[in-house]
Amino acid sequence: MATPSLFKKITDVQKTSAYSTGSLEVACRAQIGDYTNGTVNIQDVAYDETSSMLCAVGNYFSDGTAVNTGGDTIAAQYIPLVGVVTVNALTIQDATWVLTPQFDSVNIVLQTPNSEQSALVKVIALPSGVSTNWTNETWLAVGHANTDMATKGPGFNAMIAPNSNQTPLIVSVRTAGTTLYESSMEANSRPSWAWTDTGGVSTSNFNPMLLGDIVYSPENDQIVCVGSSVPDSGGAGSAGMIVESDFGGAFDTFSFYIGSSVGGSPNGPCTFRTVSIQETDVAGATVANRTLCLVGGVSNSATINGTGSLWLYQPDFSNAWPGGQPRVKPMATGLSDVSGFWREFVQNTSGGTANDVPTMITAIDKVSDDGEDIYVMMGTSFNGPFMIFASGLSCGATGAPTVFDNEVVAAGVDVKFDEIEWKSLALQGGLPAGITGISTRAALTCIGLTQRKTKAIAGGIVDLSNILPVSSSTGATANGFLISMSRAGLVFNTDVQDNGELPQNTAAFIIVSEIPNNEDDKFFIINSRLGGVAFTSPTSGSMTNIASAQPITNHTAKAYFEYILYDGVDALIAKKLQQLGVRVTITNLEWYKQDILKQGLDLDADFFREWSSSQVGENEKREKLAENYGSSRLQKRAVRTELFDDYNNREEILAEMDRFRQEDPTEDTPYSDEVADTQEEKKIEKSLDDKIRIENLVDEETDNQNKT
Amino acid sequence: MMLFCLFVLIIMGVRRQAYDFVIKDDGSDSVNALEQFVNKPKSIFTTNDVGSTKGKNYPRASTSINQFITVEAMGSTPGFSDSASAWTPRGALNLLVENTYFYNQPDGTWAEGLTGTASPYPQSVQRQRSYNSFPRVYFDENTNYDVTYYIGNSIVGIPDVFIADPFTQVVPA
Repeated sequence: MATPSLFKKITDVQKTSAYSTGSLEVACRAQIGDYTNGTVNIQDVAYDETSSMLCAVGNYFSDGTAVNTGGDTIAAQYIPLVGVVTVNALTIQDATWVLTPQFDSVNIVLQTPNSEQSALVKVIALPSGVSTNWTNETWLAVGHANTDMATKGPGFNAMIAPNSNQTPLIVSVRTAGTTLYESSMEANSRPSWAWTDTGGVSTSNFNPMLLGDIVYSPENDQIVCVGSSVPDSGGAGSAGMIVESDFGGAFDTFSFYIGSSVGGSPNGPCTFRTVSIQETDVAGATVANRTLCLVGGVSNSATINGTGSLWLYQPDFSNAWPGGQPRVKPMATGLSDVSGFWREFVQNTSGGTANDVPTMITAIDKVSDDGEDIYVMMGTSFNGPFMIFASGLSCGATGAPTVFDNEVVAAGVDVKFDEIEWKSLALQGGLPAGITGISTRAALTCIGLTQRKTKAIAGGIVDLSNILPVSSSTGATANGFLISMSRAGLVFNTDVQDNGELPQNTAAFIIVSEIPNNEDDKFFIINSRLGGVAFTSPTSGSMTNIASAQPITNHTAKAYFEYILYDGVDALIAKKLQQLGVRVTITNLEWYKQDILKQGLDLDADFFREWSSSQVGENEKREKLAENYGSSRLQKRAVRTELFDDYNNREEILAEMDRFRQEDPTEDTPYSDEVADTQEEKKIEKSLDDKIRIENLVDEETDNQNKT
Repeated sequence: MMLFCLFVLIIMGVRRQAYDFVIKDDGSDSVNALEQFVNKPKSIFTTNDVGSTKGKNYPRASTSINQFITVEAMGSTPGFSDSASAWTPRGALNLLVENTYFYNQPDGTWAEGLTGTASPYPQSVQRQRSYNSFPRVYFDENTNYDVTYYIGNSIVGIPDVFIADPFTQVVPA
C-alpha cells in the first residue's frame, strides 16, 4: 500500500523549558507564595481558539503557609491549580501565566487515608457562542480535593482505604478569572452532598468522591462527568459514578448515578476514568435527544482476567429516564464478567487471550478531526497496552429484528459497532522498547490531525488504583511515549520517540492536546509526573513541561538541472556546429574557432575601416527606409477640427476659388505668396515695358512717315 | 520548503549553470501547498503548473537572441518505494520545448519523464546514472523551454481508511 499519512518528526518546538528557569516554574514562584519549588504538575491543557488562550490544570505542593479566604492556614498538601496563558500560548516559553491556586477547595487539615492527590485532572474548552448555561465560562475543569468526610454530619463516616478523603471539584475558568464552581469545601459553591439521584434512581447512599473526566453536550448545553463514589457509611467499597448537570431546570445542580460497585477488599476504588459523547441519530444527523456516552474505567485492581469497565450511558437531560429506570447499560462491568464486552469481543471474536482483556480503560477518545470518526479505547492489560478502534456506535431495544434508534431502554439493548477492531497487538508492536508488554503502561490520549489526516497517540505509566496517586510504586520517570499512528491504525511510527525529539522524555507519562483548526496541525505535548517522586528534590528531568510542536515528515525530493549557455558569437558557432551535425560542446566550439583562424580569416585594420564604412552605409539605408515608411517624419501638428465646423465645405470652396483663378485672366498667378507677388510685379513691369516699347515703336514709325 | 539554487561557471561567452531544486516537508509549507506539487508536472523554475498563468512575474524560461543552450544533465531523488519506513518521491524530470515534451510515450502522449532512478541526484556508489551520456537537447535562440518535475508519491502520505467487521453485543435487562 502507499505510505499512510504519518508524521515522523516534530519541529518548531516551543516549551516551558526546564527547571528552574521555565516560564511556568518562574510564574509559580512569583505568583504563589506557598509554592514548593519544582512541584507544579500539569495534568491537562485545553486551548481556546476564540481567545487564543491556554488553560492548564494540575496541582502543586503547598509548603503549609497558605491561608484560605476564611483566614485559616492550610496544612502542607497538594493544592489544585489553574493556570491560564493569556499571552503567547503557542510560544509558551515566553508565556504570560495567570495562576489561580484553589485554596478554598481543600480541607485545611490533610485527612487520612490520603492516597489521592488533590488536583484538577481534566479540562475542556467550551465551544464559543454555543452555551447559555455557561455563557461566561471559557473552560470547565474537574478533579477532586482533600476533605473530611466525617465532619459532614450525620450519616457520613470517615473514609476507609483504599478510598481517599476526596470530594469532587468542578471549576469554571474564564479568561478574566476563575470560579470555584462545585466544591464540598467552599461555602459559597454547591457541594456534592447536595447532588441528587439522576432520574430518581437510587444511589444507595453513595457519596461522590473523585472526578476523572468531563464532556460537554453542545446539543443540550449540559455536561457529563465521571468518577468514583463511596458509601456514606464508610467501608472499603466504592462505585463508578456518572454525573450529569441539570441546568435550566427548577434547581440548577448535578445528579449522579453509580455503577460497577465493588465491595470486599479491593486494592483500589472503582472508578470511571473516561467518558466520550456522541449526539447523532442512526442516520447520522445531529440531534439533542439521542445523546450517548461511552464510559470506561476500572472496577477493581485485584481481579484477574478483566477489571476494565465499559458502560453505555444516556443522560437524563437527553432522554428522560422513565419511572426511575436508568438508561444505562453495563457492557462490561469488569468483575470477571464472562458475558461482558471484553470477553465476547477480545477473546471470543478477535482471538485474544484472557491476559489481553483490559484491566483498566484509561481513555476513550472519539477522534474525528482526521476525517474518520473512531472511538479509540485505550487501557492496560496483563500483556501490555490495550487498544480498540470502533466506529458507528448505535443501539436499540433487543428484538427480532432489533430496531436501532440510539435509545437506551431499561430492557435488553443491542449495542452495535459498525466497524470494530482489537488493536492491542498492533499498538504493542508499534511502541518503543521498554513499554511494550508492561501491564502498567497505557496510551492516555489520542488526537486526530486535520491537515495530515493522521493520529498522534501518547501515554506512559498509569496507576491501577488511583487517578493521581500521592505515591506510586510505578511512578518512575522516563516512561512517557509519543508515537505517530496512521488514521486507521494500520501503521505506527516511533521516530519522534527514538530520535529523542520529544521536548522532554523523562516524565512518567505524556499526553497530547489538539489546537483546533490549526493549519499546521500543531498540538500540545504535556509531560507529567504520576506520583510525588520529585517533590523534595526537583531536577530538570522530573519537571512538568508543556510544549507546542508541529508535526512533519521531513520527506525530501530533489531535482537537478545542468546546462551550458552559449552567448553571442559562441551561440552562432554553436548553431553552426549543430547544422554541421557536430555535437555542441565547449571542446567542439573551441575547435571550430581555431579552425577558422587557421584558414586565414584573421582580420586586419582594413577590415575595420571597411566594416565602419559599411556600417555608415547601412545606417543611411536604414534611415532612408525609416523615412520612407514614415517612422522618421515629423509629426503633423495636431488640428482641432471642431474649430472648422463652419468650413465643412472647405474643399468645395477651395476648388471654386481655383476655378475662378484659372478663368480670371488677371488671376493666373498665385496671389498670396511672395513668389506670386514677385512674378506679378515682373509681369506688370514687363507689361509696362511692352507698352512703353510699343509706344516708342509707334512714335518711331510715325516720325519716319513724317520724314517720308 | 521549496528551494532553488543556481550555480554558475562562466568562461567568456559560455556559462555552465545548474539548478538545484528541493521540496521538503519541514514545516515551512502547509500540507496543502506540498500536496499541490504531487501528481502533476511542475516547473522547477517557478513551481507553477505547466501552462499556468499564475504569476506574471515568472514567465517561462526562454533563450534570447544569440543564445544557445545545451542540456548537460538532469537528475532527481531516486526510488519508487512508498513504504512508511522508506519514502521516495517517485520523481521524474522532463523538458518542455515550446509546447513539446522531450520525453513522451511511444504513441506520442505525455510521459512523466526521466525518473530519478534512471538518473539519480545526488549520485552515490549505489545510485549511478543509467545513461552513459546525456541525450542531446539543444535550445536554440528565441526558444521557450521549461524543466518540469513530477512527483508521483504523496509527500505527506495518503490517509488509510478504517475498515473492520461489525460487532453487536446484547446487553440484557
